Amino acid sequence: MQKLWKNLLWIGMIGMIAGLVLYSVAGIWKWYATTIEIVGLALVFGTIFVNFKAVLQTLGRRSTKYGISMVLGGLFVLGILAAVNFFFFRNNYRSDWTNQNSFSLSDQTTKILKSLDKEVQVKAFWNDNDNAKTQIMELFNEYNNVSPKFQFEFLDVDKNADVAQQVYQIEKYGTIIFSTATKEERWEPNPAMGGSRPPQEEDITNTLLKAIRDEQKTVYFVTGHGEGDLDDAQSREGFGIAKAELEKEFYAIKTLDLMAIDVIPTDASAVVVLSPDKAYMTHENQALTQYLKNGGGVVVLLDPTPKPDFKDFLSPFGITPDQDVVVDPSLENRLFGGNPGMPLVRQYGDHQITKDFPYATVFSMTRSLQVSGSAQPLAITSNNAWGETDLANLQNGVSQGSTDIPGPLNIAVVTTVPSDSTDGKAGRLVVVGDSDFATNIQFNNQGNGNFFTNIVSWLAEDEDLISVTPKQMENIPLAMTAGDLRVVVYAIILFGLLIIGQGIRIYLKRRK
Amino acid sequence: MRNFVTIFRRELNAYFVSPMAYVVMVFFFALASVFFYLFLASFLQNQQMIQMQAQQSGRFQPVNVNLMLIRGLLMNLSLISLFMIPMITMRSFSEDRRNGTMELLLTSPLTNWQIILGKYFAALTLYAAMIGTTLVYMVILFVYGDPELLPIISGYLGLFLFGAALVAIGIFVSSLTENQLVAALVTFVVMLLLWLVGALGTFNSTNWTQQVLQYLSTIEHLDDFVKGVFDTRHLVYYVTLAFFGLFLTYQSVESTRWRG
Repeated sequence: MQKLWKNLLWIGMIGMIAGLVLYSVAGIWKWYATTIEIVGLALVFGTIFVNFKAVLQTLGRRSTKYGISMVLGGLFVLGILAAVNFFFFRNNYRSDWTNQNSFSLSDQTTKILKSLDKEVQVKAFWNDNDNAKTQIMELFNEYNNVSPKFQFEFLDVDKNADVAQQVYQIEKYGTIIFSTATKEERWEPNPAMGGSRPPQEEDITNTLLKAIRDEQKTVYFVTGHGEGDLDDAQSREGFGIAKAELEKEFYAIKTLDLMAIDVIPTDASAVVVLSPDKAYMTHENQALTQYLKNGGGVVVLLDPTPKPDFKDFLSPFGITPDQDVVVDPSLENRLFGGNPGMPLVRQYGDHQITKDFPYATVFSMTRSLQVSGSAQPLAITSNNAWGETDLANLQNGVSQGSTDIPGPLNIAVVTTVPSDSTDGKAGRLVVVGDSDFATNIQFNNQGNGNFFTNIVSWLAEDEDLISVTPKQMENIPLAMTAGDLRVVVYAIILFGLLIIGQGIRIYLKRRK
Repeated sequence: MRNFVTIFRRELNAYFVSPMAYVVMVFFFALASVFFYLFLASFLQNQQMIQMQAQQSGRFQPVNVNLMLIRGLLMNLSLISLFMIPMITMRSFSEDRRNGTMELLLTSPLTNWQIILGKYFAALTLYAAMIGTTLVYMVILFVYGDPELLPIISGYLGLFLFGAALVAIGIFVSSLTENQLVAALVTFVVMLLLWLVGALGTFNSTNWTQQVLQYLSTIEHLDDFVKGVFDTRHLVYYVTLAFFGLFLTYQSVESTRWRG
């Protein structure tokens, strides 16, 4: 009889556990899980009830008392250890012992993360077999280590195809979505880099910044003089893609009719002059100049004659547009996809806009620019380029003549304008001799898009969006030949034999 | 303290005066050497390929012996340790139980903690000696290159702490049975579970349960150490796991006193 009760107690306990397991698998109390749980409970409590006297006797035994106090003591210690772990999980000290701090985030990213005041959910859509995933995970872990508000998860695009496509409209492997309660930003592999480059710290921090930024800055595009069409995202010469990219960076895009106003609106973070067909009138130039002197940011995209050169507006700032078309027939230019009329730029000035800029940029039918005073070059052609001044005969083929301007030539230049206002903020001016690089057809060619958005970010004083330096792995090679490898193998075998020898020595000594 | 030292020396003698310690060390060293050779040969091949590519493209590509060789090697050493630790700890209490010397120990004027810590540190010393044999690879790498020292130190510190935690678990399991084979097998299974539990939690920081599962995994805490990153989280994890193992051993030894 006693044995039967004992068996029933066991069956009851197994039933209780099985019920709980079934519940945890299904997530809800299904009828069978509930039944098993109830039967289990009934058996356990029934057995205890029927054998209450025996249970009391067992409880009164010394060994039971010891047993219970042991279990309780164990649980108590486990609780304390869990609390200690939890405390140190939240309050940890972390130190990178590598020479180059290879596994630490930059000071700038750390500063941004430490000041993070809202939760950011990051969803990374990768293929589970992608090797880059581990690398990204390590990077995300570092972000999460600095701020637990940076939460991330990886989703396999193929396994979660419905979520990926229907909810997040994921088109590319490697897309990462950063969302806060109010906003969503995404990072996608850059087609200019073959689409295979995994995101670096600068990409992640930049996207994070965009996601957490609440204030929307306004960028004005001047209209009314035959400027480029911002709403045209279809044709080759439209600027619709450029506009869309700026909107993705959380800028509000507005147009500005300079003829109708005397001063630039106060909410303007930057003003873009997009290769007009006609020159601006004096009061329009004055409005732009005053805006610069008040600490504003202006970018002027020019094109060769017959487009206006803005000489009157630009020369007071030390920038003189040349009356030429840049030609670069060098082999290097052609190797990287350029042609003589499309100079490829791989050399940049030392400036925040192009700091650690990893891409080449391609310009098309561009004029060169001379600088003096505080103005400085931003994008520079190769030494083989020249500025063709015989514009009338361009169609008949060109060659470098004595009147042409020898390379290297400045295609983009930048300067700051001393302030008129009391707060002393300097104006920011960028001039590019070409507007085609930002058109729909060229925007995603090489690093053109990044170059354009970096210019606008700098003008709008969003430098932190562009200046995280990517890390290079330190070079620590081994100077070892195939012969050395053999020596190493022998050395290891010898060492192993030494251990065996010592063992045998001890064994023999013991036997004696 | 003197009692602890007596037990520690007795246990250490049992390991090192018998061929036991040497068999464990040679086994470990042989397996580790195979891994070292494979990692080294693969690194040299990669280095050569990268140098050739750099010559062709004119673009400099760095190689890094710490990241591309030592990191992977140390992670693999932890895997081999998983097989060796049960061999080290299986005898600590099981042998005393089987030989009947457990009663002698328990009735001697030694406290439970002195017995447990003496056995634990002896087993840990053998583990350290076993891991120590692989320092010969580091010497070789320093002869032929200039690896970063601090990440190597942190890697070995991680391996030591990893072992310290698992040896404590092994000692506990050994205190439960007098059969050494059972002790070794159960220790291996427990360690394997503690290793694999992290795989149940995927790469998500949003899911609380998965985060806890990952945190419980012994291997998750080793990765930072072998990378060259020191984090008090991992130190606390290993130290508390070791303490918990020893505490359970204490409970187990204590229970033999009143269970008889």
